[in-house]
Amino acid sequence: MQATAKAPASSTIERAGARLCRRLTLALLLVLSLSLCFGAVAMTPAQLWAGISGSDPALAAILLEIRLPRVLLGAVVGAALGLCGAALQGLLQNPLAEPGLLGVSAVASLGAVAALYFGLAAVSTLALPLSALAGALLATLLLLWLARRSGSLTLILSGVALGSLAVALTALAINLSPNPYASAELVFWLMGSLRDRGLDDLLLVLPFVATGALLLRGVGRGLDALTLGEDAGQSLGIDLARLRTRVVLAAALLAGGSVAGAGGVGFVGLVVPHLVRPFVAHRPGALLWPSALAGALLLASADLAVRLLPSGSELMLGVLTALIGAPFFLHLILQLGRQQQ
Amino acid sequence: MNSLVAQGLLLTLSGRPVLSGLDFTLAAGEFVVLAGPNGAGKSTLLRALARLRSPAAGRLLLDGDDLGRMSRETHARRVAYLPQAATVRWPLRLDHLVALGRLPHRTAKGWDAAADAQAIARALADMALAGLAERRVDTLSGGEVARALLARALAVEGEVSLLDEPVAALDPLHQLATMQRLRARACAGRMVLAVLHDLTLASRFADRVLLLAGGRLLADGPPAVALSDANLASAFGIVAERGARGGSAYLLPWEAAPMHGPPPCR
Repeated sequence: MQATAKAPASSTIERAGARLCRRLTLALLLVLSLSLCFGAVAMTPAQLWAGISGSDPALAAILLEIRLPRVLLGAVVGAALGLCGAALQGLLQNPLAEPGLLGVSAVASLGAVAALYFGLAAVSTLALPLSALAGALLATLLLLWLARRSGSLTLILSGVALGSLAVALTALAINLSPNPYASAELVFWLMGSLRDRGLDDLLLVLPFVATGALLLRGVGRGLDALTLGEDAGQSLGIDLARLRTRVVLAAALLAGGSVAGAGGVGFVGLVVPHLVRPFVAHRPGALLWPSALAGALLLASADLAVRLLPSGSELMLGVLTALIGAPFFLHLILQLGRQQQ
Repeated sequence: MNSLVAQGLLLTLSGRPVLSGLDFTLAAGEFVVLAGPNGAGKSTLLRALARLRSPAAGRLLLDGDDLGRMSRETHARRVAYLPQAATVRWPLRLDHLVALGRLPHRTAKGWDAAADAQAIARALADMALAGLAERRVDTLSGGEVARALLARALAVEGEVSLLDEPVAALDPLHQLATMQRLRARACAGRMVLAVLHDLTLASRFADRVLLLAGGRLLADGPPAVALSDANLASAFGIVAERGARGGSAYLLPWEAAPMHGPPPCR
């Protein structure tokens, strides 16, 4: 009797997950199209259509060459950060794991800043994303090595230390940069923004993020098994070394790619999986793709907000996500503390 | 499944031998308790059988096949493992937690959903958890979570179940009920190997006791033989009180053996 009662119960959850994905996709499409209407030049829906259909070449140029790449880049970076956070949290079995908090983004930023500082970025357009990626990979490997030797608290503290070191070195680069214009460029880049990002940036970031996402295909089962810890997870047939390698590589590609695309946008990887988790019954494997969609939605909305907010100069995207994310992070820590009591 | 065999097994922890010269053969249908003082190597032996560590020497055979050469997937289907002091990292629903035990059976080629649902329902019923199936584990008590984790291991329906202290967190009623269920699973043709510190429960329910002490297998036999006065004194340094009720014998750890510990103050 119970056997027949069980199957519908779990398929209800599957259906709820699919429904969540559909709703997130719809909301994302809505925000993306709204996003296309607003900018330095506001467009009415009629003008938007004129731009899309190509009947007005000036509007078409604004839409296709300026606005669309920026809007899509925002969604891609948001998806990368949401997915990265969800995968790292599953692997480390810790809700506080996030590329920003663990210092991965900071080290990736340091890599990118080094490329700007040493003039490598001027030599090749690939230098900046590649050095951001190298930074992300280095940081993730270091953290993984630390995670194997000690518990999650040590891991997070090491991440904070690693991040501080990277921030200090980045500040040093700004401090030593030859002219005020160069240092202003570094600072603005670090704050995280989608301003003036174009099709080139989108095409540069997309392969890294896509590869990272592809690597995460099929890891859901392993992350689910890790709910029981590493020993019991392995006894369920999970190849832990392989799972670790895949997730770490993917996290580095996703975090490095997002830093290369939009600079230092923090807290998305932390907030998004946490918001999505209740909708997938807290299963780490089912969390991945809805988190990618929700991350894209969140960052696209935040980017729309910074363009709409009536401030003198455009607010930096990273500043907005930190303004929302930091209090949220505090709330999360307090909640975890209460649970442990 | 017919047998689980250890031949000349040597297990080391960071180069130091923990257990050496282990030889035993366990048969299907047996409920075997692994007993021994703290640090005797019980968990280490269980971890070796769960393939979480490889033996420094000797062999482990399941039906004649070397455990180490078996594919990860096959081993996961045939051998279930419950670690000591197991925890749940995310507040899953209880039925989802138990369903994790079916992961080894869910291959890329597909799976038998009816068999899954039956195994989950059986495990929930065995651990008296059916009424809590839709509760989130962070709303359950410690003992209920321990039962849920045991149900997860049973849901694998492996030929061998390796359970590290499965009843340590349970109240007396659930300890007794769980021991009966484990025994019933063994009677149904599976093999259950459980680490237990409760010698009263062990002597009452186990078909057989493996007693580890001093880095070796001190005794291997039915509880009455393996947990003899001499063995209890030499392995644990204790004296046990013995009795019988309804035709079955029981033992109760009573006091430190004269050569161990201070004399009682009374």
